[in-house]
Amino acid sequence: MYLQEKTKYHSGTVLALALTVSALFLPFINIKKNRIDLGEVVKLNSFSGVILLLYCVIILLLIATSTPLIFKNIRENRGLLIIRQFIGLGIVALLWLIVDEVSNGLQNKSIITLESGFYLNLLAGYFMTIGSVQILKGKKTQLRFIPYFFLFLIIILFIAISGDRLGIVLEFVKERGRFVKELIIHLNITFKSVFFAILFGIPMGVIAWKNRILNPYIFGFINTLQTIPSLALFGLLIAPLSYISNKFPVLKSMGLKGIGETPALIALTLYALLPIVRNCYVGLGNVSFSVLESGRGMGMNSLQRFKSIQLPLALPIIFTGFKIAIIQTLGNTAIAALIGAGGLGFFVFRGLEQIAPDLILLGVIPIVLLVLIFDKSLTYLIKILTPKGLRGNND
Amino acid sequence: MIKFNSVTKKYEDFIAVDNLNLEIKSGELCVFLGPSGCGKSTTLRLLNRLLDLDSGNITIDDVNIGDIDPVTLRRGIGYVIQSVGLLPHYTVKENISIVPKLLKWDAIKIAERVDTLLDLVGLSPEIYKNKYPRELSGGEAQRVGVARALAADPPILLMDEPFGAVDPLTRDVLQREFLRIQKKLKKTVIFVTHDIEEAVKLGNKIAVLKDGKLIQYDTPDRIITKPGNSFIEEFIGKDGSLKLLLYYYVEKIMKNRIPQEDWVYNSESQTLLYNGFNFCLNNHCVYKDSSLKDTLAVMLKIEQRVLPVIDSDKKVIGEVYLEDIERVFGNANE
Repeated sequence: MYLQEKTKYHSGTVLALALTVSALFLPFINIKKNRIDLGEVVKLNSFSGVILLLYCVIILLLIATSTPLIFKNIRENRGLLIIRQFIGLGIVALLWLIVDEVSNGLQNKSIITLESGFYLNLLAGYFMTIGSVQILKGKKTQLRFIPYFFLFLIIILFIAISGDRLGIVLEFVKERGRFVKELIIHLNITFKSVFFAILFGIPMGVIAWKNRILNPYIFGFINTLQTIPSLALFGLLIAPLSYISNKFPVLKSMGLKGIGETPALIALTLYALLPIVRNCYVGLGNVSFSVLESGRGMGMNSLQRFKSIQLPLALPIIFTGFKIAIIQTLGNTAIAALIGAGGLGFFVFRGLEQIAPDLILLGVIPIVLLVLIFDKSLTYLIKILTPKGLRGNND
Repeated sequence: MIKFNSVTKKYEDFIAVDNLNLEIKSGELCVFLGPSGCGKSTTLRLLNRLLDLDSGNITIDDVNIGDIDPVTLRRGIGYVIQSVGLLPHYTVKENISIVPKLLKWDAIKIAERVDTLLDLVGLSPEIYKNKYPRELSGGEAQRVGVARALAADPPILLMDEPFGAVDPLTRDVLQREFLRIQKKLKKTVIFVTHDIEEAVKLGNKIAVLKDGKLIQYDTPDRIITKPGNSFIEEFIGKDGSLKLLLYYYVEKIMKNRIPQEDWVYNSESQTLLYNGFNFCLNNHCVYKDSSLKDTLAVMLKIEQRVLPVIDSDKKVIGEVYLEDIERVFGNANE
């Protein structure tokens, strides 16, 4: 029976296996004498026998739990699931040992930068713990603590290895003041742009929904905007804005300039329009005709229909548009640093100039974290705002 | 009383309703019957001014509806549509309270009214009050739809193919329940359908419409026995006489007698022994409000010329004879 045949391999474990095996040939850690030193790459073969042995054990365990060589029913075996969690934690522990060994043999003032082999192993650990537990969603289990434990372990790992040697930490310590300042600028630019995009986007969405004639023009305009590469849009704004600000000193005194915050805000607002306008339009149009018609038939006037039917049914979709705009703009704001607007992109571009990967990471990691935090919290907020009768379909 | 006086509605050059003249007495259930596109829904929507008419006028109790503010007018007319149109983010209770709230009833009165109405449409208030529409079956949603239309106790009820989207079994139950409610409340009802059986079962009067014109307006039995033209004849079909049996109920022809010795009741097997035949209480007996069609069907099935009529407590209250069913046709054909 072909249809009843189940997959013989556990895909997450196979993936983790592929990652750990490819890490065998990749650099784990880079040791630099100082910040501009190209550094000396450490691969797995230069570690001690104990670490090599443990690494082999992990690979063997991964093979054993990914294929039905030893265990039957690879995918649903509960015992295997627990074993997998411990393999994942084991990988993190091994990374700890590796870093510990490297830092013990270091000279003073040397800087450690983590390399691809290290990150691939972290990813493998993720697949074995959090990735494996995902399947259990909805089922009652005592294994729920494992993802948190895994994250906790990674944080401990980073604190332990950071000491005063890890490159990204050193960059952070050195740029601490600057970092806070750029973080605030980054958030400031993002929220201002999204605010303006909402201010213009909601009326545009309402008009697109109400007016069939203007609809194609509105969507034509914002879709075209989206196709312009962001770098180009920033550049394109410099010339006209400089001209305007030179022509009208009043505007110049208000802060309108060819470079800096103004063009950044304009460009980012234009980019954020699409999700806001589109979701507003879709949300309003999503309300079924029969519901509105029965409201009309019951004697609700147009304001009552809008307030008690149209708006509550459309709001969750409109708010989802805001969420997408915020997340998208958090990323796009990084480029604003190029035209002197500042933000976390500052570290990215300076890192590129100085060929300092740790400095680039100092800009990128906070952006990724911000995106994750805003995504999760806004998703939760939207869930609360969704009328009760509509909930439960997406989860 | 609702009066349509030479009512015409045009969509550009398409005439949806063509010079319609019609009178519906208060407390009557009038069915608009016709194929799709005949203008029956349009006529309905002219009455609560969801559409505006082009010429003629409609009066309710001699007041021209054109003189009433549409919003006020609609709050005084119950409206049920096929897709129900319950607000998905409102609970059953909130859905039913919409019109009373618009009319600014106080909360206690509304809460009492919701419970009464849910009981009336056969849904237990405790179970259903706080459910959301997506938790209801099609039949339950339609019951809530009817309850919502009745909420502010409007004298007029407009129903646009209300039972068209539910399965035949549920539809039959809903039709019976609705008849029971109508018997109690005596609303003036306009009921739109394309199903002739539904029209015959429910209507006091049927208005047959075609291409926006009123073809015949009469009682169901006269529409079937004396169709106005070949179109209606075709619409009724060859089994018109059987459809007529849907119009009559056992109550009309049953012999009221409470038999003592000739009916032998066996409580263990739930059967009645009469004339040498064992009538099963569940399958072979009919109720006062069973249609003659069902009655005839049972007679044919068990080859009996007489059936016991029972009440809801399964007590015999009379009997119904085949000859009397035959006589119904005779009377109707006269």
